[in-house]
Amino acid sequence: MSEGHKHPRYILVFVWLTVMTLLEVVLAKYGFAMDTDAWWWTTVILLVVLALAKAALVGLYFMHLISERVTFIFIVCFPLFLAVVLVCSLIPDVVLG
Amino acid sequence: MSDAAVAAPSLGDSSKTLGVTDGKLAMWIFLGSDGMSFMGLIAAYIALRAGNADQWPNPTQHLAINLTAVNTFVLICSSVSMVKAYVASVENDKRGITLWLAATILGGCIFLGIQVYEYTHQITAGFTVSGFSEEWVKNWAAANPGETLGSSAGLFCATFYVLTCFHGCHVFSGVVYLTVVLIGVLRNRWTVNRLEIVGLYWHFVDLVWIVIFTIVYLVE
Repeated sequence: MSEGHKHPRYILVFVWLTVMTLLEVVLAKYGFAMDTDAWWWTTVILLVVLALAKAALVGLYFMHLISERVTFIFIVCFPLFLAVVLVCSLIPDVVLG
Repeated sequence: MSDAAVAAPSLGDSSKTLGVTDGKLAMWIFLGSDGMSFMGLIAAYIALRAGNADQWPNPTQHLAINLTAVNTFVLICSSVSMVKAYVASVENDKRGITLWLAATILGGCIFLGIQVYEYTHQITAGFTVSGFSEEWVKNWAAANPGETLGSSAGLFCATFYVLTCFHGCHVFSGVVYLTVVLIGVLRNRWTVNRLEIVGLYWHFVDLVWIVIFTIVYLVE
């Protein structure tokens, strides 16, 4: 790992994480206040995208996944795929009651 | 052909196959399984909430969003101090490791302190694991005239406490783990690998909180 390049990047990641957290709070406050289905869905999708972006930044830079081998990244990310499967498998139960 | 000529099939160098040490791989395996535990709880929360969407209480009317946003910021700061401790270990800077690890532990303690404050405030006011008390409902109705509370309040309360408390236990374990590593550093018993492994755990705790904060606190 080239630490000379990595070191300042951590602060940049920190700034992005902070900005996105602020954005989430503001978005939740004003997005849900619109009180329409379209705004509700837009706000929820944007919040989830922001959360995933923050999680990706932590995983890639703070947990150094970005500098690991591709095989290793696939192995450690596989539980994420299973997690998505787990949530999706519950959809029929929620929809059909 | 002599026996010596028959080469045994190579199993490869276990420390280099994936380019990570055994300890680091073990931590990742643990994080994978722990992540599935969290996902089980989060999936249950999503399923229960989606199945009772009309009756689910509005989290922003019951939870301290701004305080929790500050708590999220504290956890992000502690992740940065953790990664700084790792960088200090790479640079063989013992003083740097000590200071940044102590800052990370402090961040974890502040997070736990705020969470305990939040729980104490809520529980004494009537927001308990089993649901809302009459007093809580009365105060809520006064602050939100014309709105309905939703009959799934019990589910909301139970899932909220289970998820956040499960995460809080992880933060507490992380603080203990970090303290043990810090004591090791003070005794000159540390390696870069050890710092990286404890860092992986701490960043995972931060990562999970990012998801919980959005799903439990922010989505109305």
